[in-house]
Amino acid sequence: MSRKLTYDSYLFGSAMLIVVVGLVMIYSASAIITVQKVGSENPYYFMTRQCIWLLAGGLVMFALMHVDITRLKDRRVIHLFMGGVLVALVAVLFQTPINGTHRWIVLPLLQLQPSEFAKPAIILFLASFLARREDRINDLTATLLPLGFVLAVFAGLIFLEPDFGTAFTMLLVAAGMIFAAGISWRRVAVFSFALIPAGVALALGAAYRRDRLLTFLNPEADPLGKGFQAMQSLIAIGTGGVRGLGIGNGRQKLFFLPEPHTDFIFSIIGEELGFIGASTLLLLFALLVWRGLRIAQRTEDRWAFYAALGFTLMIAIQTLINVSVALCLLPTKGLPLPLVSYGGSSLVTSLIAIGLLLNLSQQSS
Amino acid sequence: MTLSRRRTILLSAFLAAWGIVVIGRLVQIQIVRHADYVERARRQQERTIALSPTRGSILDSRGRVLAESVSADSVYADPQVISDPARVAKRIAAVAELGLSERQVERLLREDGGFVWIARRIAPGASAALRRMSIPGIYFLEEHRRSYPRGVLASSVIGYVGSDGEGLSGVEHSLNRFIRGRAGKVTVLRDARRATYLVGGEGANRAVDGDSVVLTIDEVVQYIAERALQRAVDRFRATGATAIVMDPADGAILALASFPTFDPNHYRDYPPSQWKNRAVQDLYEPGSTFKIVTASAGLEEGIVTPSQIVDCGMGKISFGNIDIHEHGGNHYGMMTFEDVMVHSSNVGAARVGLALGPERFYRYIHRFGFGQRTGVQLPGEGVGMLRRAEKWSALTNAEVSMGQEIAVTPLQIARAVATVANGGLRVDPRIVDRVVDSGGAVVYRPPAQAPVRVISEKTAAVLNEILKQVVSRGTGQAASLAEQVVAGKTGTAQKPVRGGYSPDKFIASFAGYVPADRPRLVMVVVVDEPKGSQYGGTVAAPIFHEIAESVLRYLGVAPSLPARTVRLGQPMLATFSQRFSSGIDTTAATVEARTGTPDLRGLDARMAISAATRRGLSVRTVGTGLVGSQSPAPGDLVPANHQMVLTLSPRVEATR
Repeated sequence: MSRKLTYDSYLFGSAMLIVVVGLVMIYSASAIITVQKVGSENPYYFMTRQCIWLLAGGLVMFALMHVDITRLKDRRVIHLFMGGVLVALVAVLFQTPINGTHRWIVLPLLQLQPSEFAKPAIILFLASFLARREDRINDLTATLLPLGFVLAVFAGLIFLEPDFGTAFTMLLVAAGMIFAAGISWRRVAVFSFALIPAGVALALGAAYRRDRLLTFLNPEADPLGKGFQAMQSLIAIGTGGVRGLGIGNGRQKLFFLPEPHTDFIFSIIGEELGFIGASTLLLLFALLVWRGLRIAQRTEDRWAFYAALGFTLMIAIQTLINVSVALCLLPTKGLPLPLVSYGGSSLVTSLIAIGLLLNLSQQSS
Repeated sequence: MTLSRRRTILLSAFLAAWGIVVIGRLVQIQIVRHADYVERARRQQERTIALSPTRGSILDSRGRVLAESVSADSVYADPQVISDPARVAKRIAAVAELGLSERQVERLLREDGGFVWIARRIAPGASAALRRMSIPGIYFLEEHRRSYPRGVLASSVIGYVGSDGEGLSGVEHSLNRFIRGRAGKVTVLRDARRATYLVGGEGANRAVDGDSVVLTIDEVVQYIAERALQRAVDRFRATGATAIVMDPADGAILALASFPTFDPNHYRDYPPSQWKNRAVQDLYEPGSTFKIVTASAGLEEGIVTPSQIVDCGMGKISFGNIDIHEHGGNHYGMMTFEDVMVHSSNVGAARVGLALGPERFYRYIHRFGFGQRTGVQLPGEGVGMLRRAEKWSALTNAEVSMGQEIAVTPLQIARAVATVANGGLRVDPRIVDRVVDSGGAVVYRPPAQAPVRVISEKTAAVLNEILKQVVSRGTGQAASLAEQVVAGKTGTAQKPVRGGYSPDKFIASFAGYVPADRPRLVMVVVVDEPKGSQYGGTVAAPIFHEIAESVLRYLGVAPSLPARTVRLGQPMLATFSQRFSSGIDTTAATVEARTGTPDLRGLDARMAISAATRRGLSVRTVGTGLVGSQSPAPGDLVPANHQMVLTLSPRVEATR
């Protein structure tokens, strides 16, 4: 019973601070544009909805903090979860597209993004799988091909939506976990040589991705055209300077930035909170990630190690990709900033990760 | 186990490295290149909007509006926002008041860029109709439209305003600096949809509205003058005409009409040649009206007296192989100088001019203001052309005496005539009375020029009598009025053409003032190339008559001449020329004279001389100003043609 005291309070604290920053910034970024976005006169529209999602996500997190780990290790539970996500990933392809993509399953009161839930599903699967087979990690037929098959199916479906960013994140997390499992450097080299040309082919395969990539390489060539989003994001962040314009005083959210409350919320943070605010937020993430890795390193149980590592990587990699896109270090991808961006599925997924990490922090000592 | 830990540390290092790159990039963008991005943001977020001031009005002397600015909407479009140009064009073109075709609008809406004017300064009805449609991408900007409620009236004085809001001619131009006002500007923040969402408090610089100009022009007098001029132009199929009505006391121009004219509301519909103001911009040879100057100089210098006999050479005076002839082929022999003026003898005038000689004559011409701008605040005023005295030949001297070889503006003639009407004091004409701000406070008043004495009061009075004769029995009879005595001079000038004078193109003019003995109006009428008749007396004098009659009635000037005494009165005036006229008149004057001398005390010289001569008395004056004492005393019986001596003393206050 005394174990409850061993929750990693730094991790919990940093996660909650990040969530609060997120709520404030969602309000700031969306208050003026709600009318145009959703036709609502209520400036709290997006923040209110995010709060409801936070409540739901908080319950999930709370449940995961206290659930018996052995239940989550149960392969039937994992397979059930994976199966459900798989069905959703297939179903989402038959939804009417929103903004030209099939990312959301529209339910009467809410929209779900199955690709978000694919990430914890895959992490739980990998944790279980790698814990059992890490001694045979370099075995092609027993380990790597089955792993590759499962990843290919999930990533492929997400890729079809298309949601390149999430698929990319998921594959990077998986790669990190397999790397940690001790895959030989030779295999790493072989896979790298095989995957990089494939990735380039994919990236250039679709016109919109190619355009994004090319504008990324030279965003200022066409600041009002294809490079618009990247340029607007840089303008927002650059305008912030050291101290920022102050919460609510940003101007770039007024239709200059296309998704100021979701994918480009970091740009608004940079604009309104300045270098001080943006770097503080990044330090909070760093603290969170550090605590997550620390939890992983301290676990006795192999499953727990992989799970902790996987969820930490998920948050870390997604954060870095999102911020890199905002800073024009990576081509534009539709990817939310974990715990901060508006979006229920993303928030719940992130809180699942936090909940599990907190649970696992009890195990380490 | 240890492998996993090592690998995890490697992964951590990878993440840390990525994080450091991100922080480095953050430093680069937010700190190093901060200013650059602020500038970029400012460029796309801020717009400086010029706030145009409202132009001031132009008012007549009684405050009636001649020009004003009314607000009008301008419509512009953001083609980027308009997704269906064809449909939007159809809706806009449906507003018939715009006068735009569907195709025109659609072409505009398909233009590249984010801004295109659809229509500038549209009518209120069209604006309301368009606003009701509330088409996305169609926006409105309040601008000002210049309105001239009286249309063509006084347009050559008022001028017009170009599409950029700057006055381009007339008072609109010459006083643009007052009327324009001061533009302001405001910086507004805009979102990416080009909607203005915030008007910045700082940097806002309110526009200051323009001041209003009050002219000396009286709308009614102007109308009377233009109507009369228009009629004459139509009747004589003239190519142009000018009429100036001026108050000699202060130089205020009550009307200044110029034909052909234009409507400043639609100035583009008229050829630019019609935008000009002939009264100040046209140069012409004044012809015989200029003999007023010749006579002034001759009388002032004592070269001639009205009664002096002048040899008019039987219609000809020769300079080498060039002869100067009389108008209309007249052959005058010996006649008084008064008759030289009354009949407008060229030879007679030339003799006086020659007797003056170039230097003296030039001095008078110059003092009357020829060869110098009047300084009236109208753009493009002509200086005239006056050859320097050193360069005068005898022929030039003679020609100038009769108003040739000299080019003047109608307004310069008006100033010269006003000088005579004013008793010899030259007052420069003015058309701008004052400039007032929106609160009515006077912000500018044209500096009043001190009157310049050109000829003595006595000379002016003598010349006044002569000019009255011109109208009562000479070439200017058509200018006479039933209830007022008119003084003036006709002019008929052949238009100079290459190498001489045109045989069939004339400028007919009349310059005069009324009432002759207490002038309220000085008027100059110039008609360019009348057909059918070319004489100043037949073409211009009737216009003078028409305008003067209406204007005096409008101004409420009391009749100075009872209508029934006109026939008796006119010959009586002739006694000044020492009974040159018929005996009946002389008798009448003699009878009159025996009743006693009039009381002339308190009158100014001109009035006194007029009154005395009316009774057949001649006058000698001593000093200047008002009559202080007279000899013989009032009521004394004297013989006809007795010379009275009037002692003048400086006037205490100016009389009008």
